[in-house]
Amino acid sequence: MRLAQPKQIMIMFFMPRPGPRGYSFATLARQAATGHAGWRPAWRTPALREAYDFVIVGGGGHGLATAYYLARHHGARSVAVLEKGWIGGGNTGRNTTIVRSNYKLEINQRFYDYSLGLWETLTRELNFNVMFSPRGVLFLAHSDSDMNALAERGDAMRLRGIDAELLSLGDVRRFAPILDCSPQARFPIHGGLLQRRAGTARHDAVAWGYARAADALGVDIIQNCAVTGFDIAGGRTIAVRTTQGRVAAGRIGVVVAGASSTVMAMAGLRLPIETHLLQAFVSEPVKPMVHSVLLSGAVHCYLSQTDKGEIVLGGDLDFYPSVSQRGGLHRIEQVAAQAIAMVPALGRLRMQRAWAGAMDMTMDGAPIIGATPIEGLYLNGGWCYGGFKATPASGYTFAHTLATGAPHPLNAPYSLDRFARGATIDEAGAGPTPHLH
Amino acid sequence: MSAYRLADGGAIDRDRVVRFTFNGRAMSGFSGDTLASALLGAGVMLVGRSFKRHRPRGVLSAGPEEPNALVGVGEGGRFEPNTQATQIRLYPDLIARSQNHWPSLGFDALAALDAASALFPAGFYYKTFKSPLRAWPLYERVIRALAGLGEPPKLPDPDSYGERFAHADVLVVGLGPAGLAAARAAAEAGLRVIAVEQDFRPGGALLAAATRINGAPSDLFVDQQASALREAGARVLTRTTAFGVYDHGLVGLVERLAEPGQTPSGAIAQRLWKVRAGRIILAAGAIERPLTFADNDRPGVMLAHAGAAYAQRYAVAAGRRVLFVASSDADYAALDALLRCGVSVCAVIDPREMAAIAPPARVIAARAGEHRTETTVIGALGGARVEGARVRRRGVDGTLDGDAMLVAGGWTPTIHLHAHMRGALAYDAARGVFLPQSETDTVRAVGACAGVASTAQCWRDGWRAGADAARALGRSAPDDPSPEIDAPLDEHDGFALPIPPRGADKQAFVDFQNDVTMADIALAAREGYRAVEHLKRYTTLGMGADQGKTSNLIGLHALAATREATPGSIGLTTYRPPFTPVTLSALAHDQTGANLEPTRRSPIFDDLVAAGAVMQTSGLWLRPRYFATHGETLHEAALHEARAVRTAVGVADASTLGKIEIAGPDAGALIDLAYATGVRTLQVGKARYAVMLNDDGFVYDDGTIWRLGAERYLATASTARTAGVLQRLTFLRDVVAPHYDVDVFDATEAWAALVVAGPRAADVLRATLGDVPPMAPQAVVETPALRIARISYSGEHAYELYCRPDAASALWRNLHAAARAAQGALYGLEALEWLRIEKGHVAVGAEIDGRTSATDLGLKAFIKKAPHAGARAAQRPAFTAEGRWRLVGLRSAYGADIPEGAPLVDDAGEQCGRVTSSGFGVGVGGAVALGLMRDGPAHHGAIVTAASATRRRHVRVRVGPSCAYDPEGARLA
Amino acid sequence: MMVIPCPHCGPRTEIEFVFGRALEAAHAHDDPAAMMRRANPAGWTAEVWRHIHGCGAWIVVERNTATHAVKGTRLPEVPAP
Repeated sequence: MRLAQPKQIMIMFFMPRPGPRGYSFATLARQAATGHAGWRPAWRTPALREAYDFVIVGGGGHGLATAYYLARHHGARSVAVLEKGWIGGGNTGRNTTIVRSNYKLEINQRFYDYSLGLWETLTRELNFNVMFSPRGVLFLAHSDSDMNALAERGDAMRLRGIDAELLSLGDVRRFAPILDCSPQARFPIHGGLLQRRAGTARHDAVAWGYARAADALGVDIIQNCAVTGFDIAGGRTIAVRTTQGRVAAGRIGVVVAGASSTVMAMAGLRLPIETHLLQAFVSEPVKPMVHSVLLSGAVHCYLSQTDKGEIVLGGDLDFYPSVSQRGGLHRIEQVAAQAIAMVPALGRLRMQRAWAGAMDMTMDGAPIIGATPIEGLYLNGGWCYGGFKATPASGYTFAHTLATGAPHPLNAPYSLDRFARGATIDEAGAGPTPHLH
Repeated sequence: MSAYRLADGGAIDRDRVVRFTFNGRAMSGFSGDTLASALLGAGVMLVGRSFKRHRPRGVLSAGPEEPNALVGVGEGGRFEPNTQATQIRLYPDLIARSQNHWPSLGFDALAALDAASALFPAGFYYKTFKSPLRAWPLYERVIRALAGLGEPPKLPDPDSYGERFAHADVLVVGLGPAGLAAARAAAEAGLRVIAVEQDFRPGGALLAAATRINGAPSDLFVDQQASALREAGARVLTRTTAFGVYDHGLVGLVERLAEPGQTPSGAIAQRLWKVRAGRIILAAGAIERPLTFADNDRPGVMLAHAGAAYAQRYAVAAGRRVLFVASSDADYAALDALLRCGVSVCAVIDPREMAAIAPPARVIAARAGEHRTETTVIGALGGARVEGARVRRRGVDGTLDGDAMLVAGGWTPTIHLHAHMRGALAYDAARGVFLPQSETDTVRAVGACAGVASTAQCWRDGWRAGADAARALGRSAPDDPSPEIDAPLDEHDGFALPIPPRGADKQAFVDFQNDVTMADIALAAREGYRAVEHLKRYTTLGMGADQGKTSNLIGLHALAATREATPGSIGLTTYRPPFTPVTLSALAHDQTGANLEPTRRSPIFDDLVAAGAVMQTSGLWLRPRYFATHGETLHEAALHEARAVRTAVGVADASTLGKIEIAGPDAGALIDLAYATGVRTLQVGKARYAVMLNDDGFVYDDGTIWRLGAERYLATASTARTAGVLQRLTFLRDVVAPHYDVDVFDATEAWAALVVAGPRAADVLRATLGDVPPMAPQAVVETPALRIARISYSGEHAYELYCRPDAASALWRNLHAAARAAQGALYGLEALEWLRIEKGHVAVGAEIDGRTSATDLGLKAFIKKAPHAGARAAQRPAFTAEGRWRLVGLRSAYGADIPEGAPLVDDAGEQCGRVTSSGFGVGVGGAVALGLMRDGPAHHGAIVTAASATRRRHVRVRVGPSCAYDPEGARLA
Repeated sequence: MMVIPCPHCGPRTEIEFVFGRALEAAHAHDDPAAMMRRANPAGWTAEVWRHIHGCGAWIVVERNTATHAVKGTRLPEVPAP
């Protein structure tokens, strides 16, 4: 299976701008002259209609992307996105914004690298600056065997044309001088694996950009509309019941990270998913200090700096099922300690804002995108804590799956029935213990 | 003395001058000052530049809500950026610098951004910098350099930080009148009380007011309460912030023992407390809001009660010609304090008509220069310092001169800690604020944070909460001493939002720190960002280091005004810890350096080092990789060591190996359930190789099981899997088969493990231990002090010897000496790897990677038919599908080392497998490796490429059986 | 940080324990299909945890995944109340 990357740069150059119009420096300057009074809403506030060809449950990045690609690539003209709260309010709005494709297993590599390819042109595609910043993601090695494991990952990536560079200790020191590269470190650094094309993006912008572009193609985005049930007849879904009324649907796509089990339970399904808590926090903003994404497996910590200047830090799950979006202090203490071990100069920064997300962890650490035992009902979920970077490809392949009724080659392995078949995609090799992935 | 320091008064020690520098300029204040009060006292109004527009900014507040006056303090490793000047207790030789300007605070070239600010409304960056696409990293570089506030620290923090756990019946947060009362009532009832105050002085709002209690200044009363608390056994922590409430009454506190940038006088700079509180009485008070008029951010515009605090507590006048802008009668209490302190107030401005103003307030105002009623402030005059106000009265505009404006925009209850546990909030429409709706399981809000207005009521409310806590715990509650409180206008409510903010002025700031204006809020609403979280994220309202303490509620009201909705129906953004920012070093406390994680060492670690061991990290363990006896390289040493094992004898330390004792009538049954390999036929005195599956049917671990007695077994586990194997065994025993009568005990650290391997192993054993009966393969011998099993990982005649850790050193030295005499050597992990690879033994982390089945690994012969954990999962269809990657042996076709981890690529360029582990086979004489290859066993004899792009190495390898060395096992006989 | 009352040791803080799995999955450990499908409720649930830094026993914890409230604990062989 070899898929062309969306190398659209040259083609796009000669094509009309694909996203909705109106966002440019010129319009901004024109609006400035009139006190910005002329800006239109980024998306409409339509009333929920009685029926749609496609109903997407969940207005996060993945759901909005799905709606966008349905409209853009599959000519869908009757699409609704139902969001129980405000769009982008789930894990799209609470993550550490890392985008990378440095996976170990071929299935994941192909999927996430396709996603990375979409990220590279997403700002143009949506005519909305999602601030994709290919600043490089560096995985650190703390022993020779770590180095071999990273080489294994990098070699497999390179085999598929994905960029990966193995860095020596000296290379690491030059690339990120802020790291503690001394032999006195508790886990001395031996080297690392760098993916330069990887980086970060502005999380909220992804939801808003897809929403605005989908809206321009006629997608109805309905906020404050919670799903309360499904009408199923003859093993087939026919309608979604919501707090704003019943809506008949040709095909239903459920994309509700953190609530997959709850929503699918309304259709009588139990999923191979356990929802766990992941915390992250940011420091106060400072001038540029960390220029790439730094990640260490030995200390379970990852950090980067936002364009605003805050250092973003994340670590392990809290390791028990929770949908509370409220974590424990001990994990914060641990992440702070680990971050200081990696970058000692962080000690005098302060944690300014912390949050927690509900992660739908699957039994093998890989997502589920595809059909369910109920005809017409499709699931996109179980992103563990790797969902943000997958947003474009997730929407792209889920749109394909919904539109055609069959999976795209990229998401075919992520079927729900793989657990029954034993064809799991276990990147970490951790087995059916969701919180270990 | 500057003209801003009042001649007398204040809780400062005028005999103790404290010298400090600001932007390199030498200045001085007094003991008892904050940096903010010292700067104001020295006449410094301009202290910083704003985030986006680089507008000049001064001190707005006198507390943790300060959005403007952020400075960098300290030097070297103690440098701390973004520190609120209001939150630094002045100390000698403090070094402070302003932030976010170029080239200087006074002349900031980047202030040009303010002039062009029409081009940079909320969210402008989403609409621009999009083309050419490739240029974003360049735009981003510029944006990043302009953003951020302070300079980043560059050096490691040199200080130590502490951690302490504590339990309390009642934790009182905030020691204003309500908190003092609550703490005292609880403490005098005999409860365990911890009372915390973020300021370095208790008193809260009393410190800023002209209140008299029991006929004396309130200072005296506060001091009396604090000492009464201590006498009653309460722990009173000042300069301590309760920053977060967590599950089941856990509260995180941070106690500052040194000020930011200050060299600690004691052992630690800050202490992180984790208090498990039965009840939390939240008495956090309220925070005053500014008013939203044009240029309301000019230096010299200050919150009214902050102005009063600076006068009353620090004897500092905010200006020489102060304009006081009131919104309600309660605000006149601050005016009263200012006037009593001798601050010159030239005008009092109030939007209400005279008749609506309470008579006592009018009396106070009469002491000021003039009382301008029915007058609204529509703008501030001036640039780097306010020069007056633009006012409007009955539609007529005018100006008023002044060098400071003290603005009162109503109070916002500080409900953060109540909301951390998702405590319900109710919108009080009459007052425009959110109040705790009910107490949660653990948190009860009292005083101003619960919307209680007067000092006297706050005291009573607090006392009641403390007394209730006492009664709930079966104590008799003491009587309220009912102090006599004389506070002007005490019964008047200061919470109400004066004028619901409207309009779209791009000079009227809501969030000072992030430069969010009324215009930005209007724009966000216009563009559809109307959910409160969308507003916050689109405009960055409330996302600064101050977390919107002065701005969130104003922003919400402004949003509501655009939507024709009420703030109550829109709701607030979620409150999350921390209440105020917490230093990462304090969060990490002592988990630094070697304390980050424990380092695990073999009981004979010192002997290993003495023998020249070069250690390698293996999880938390340090394990000898090789013994550099004569300065050999890794490869030279490993070659020497592996050859010794193959030709003579080697001695190794295997103490990190997991050792789990399983004993009891059902020991055999538990092992039968847990392991895929049958042990029913294992005889006492024998050991057997055994495989354990995970619940998904893939191989989890392999090891040996020794039958020590009829009902006693020892199971060994891979170093990295020991915890997991123990977890599985205990899970199966406790949860799946709780009726089994069997003990499972982790004896890993109870036994040292030494290995003797090689053709002369028996000689060494005899030379060391004397009389050892000959042992057949797989035999186990047990004495009280020693367990020996004849099992082999290397492929040679070998023994594993387990002894007590304290006896291991002697045994090791004796074995070493005997091995030396037999031309043997010590060997480390590298040689061990080489030996097992050519023997075809799989290892966890390499071949056992959580994705390989027993069949994949050629271990089918070790899997019993009888039921066992993971058996059914291993029968799923994919386990028997074609094309699975299966274990093969690899030999370098032309002698080169085989890159570990490299993909195996066939001649069509497609990946067909992967090298899992690689080494040098001293037995077969050449580079050897193990790998997993698609239908591997069907391709013995094929030549493929181990292609490592990252290491630029492509090695042709020949595929063969996994066991390259002594496949018949003749050497084990 | 929750407080979990260990039936053997009394109330102990969360960091002494490790979460194992949902009780339903524990009971279905040898049936891969049932073991992997979880109710995963947003609310009350029963789980097995191990008091790893205490007595070492596995216990059943009834806990709310939305609020982290702990209703009670028992040994696995004790039937649900």
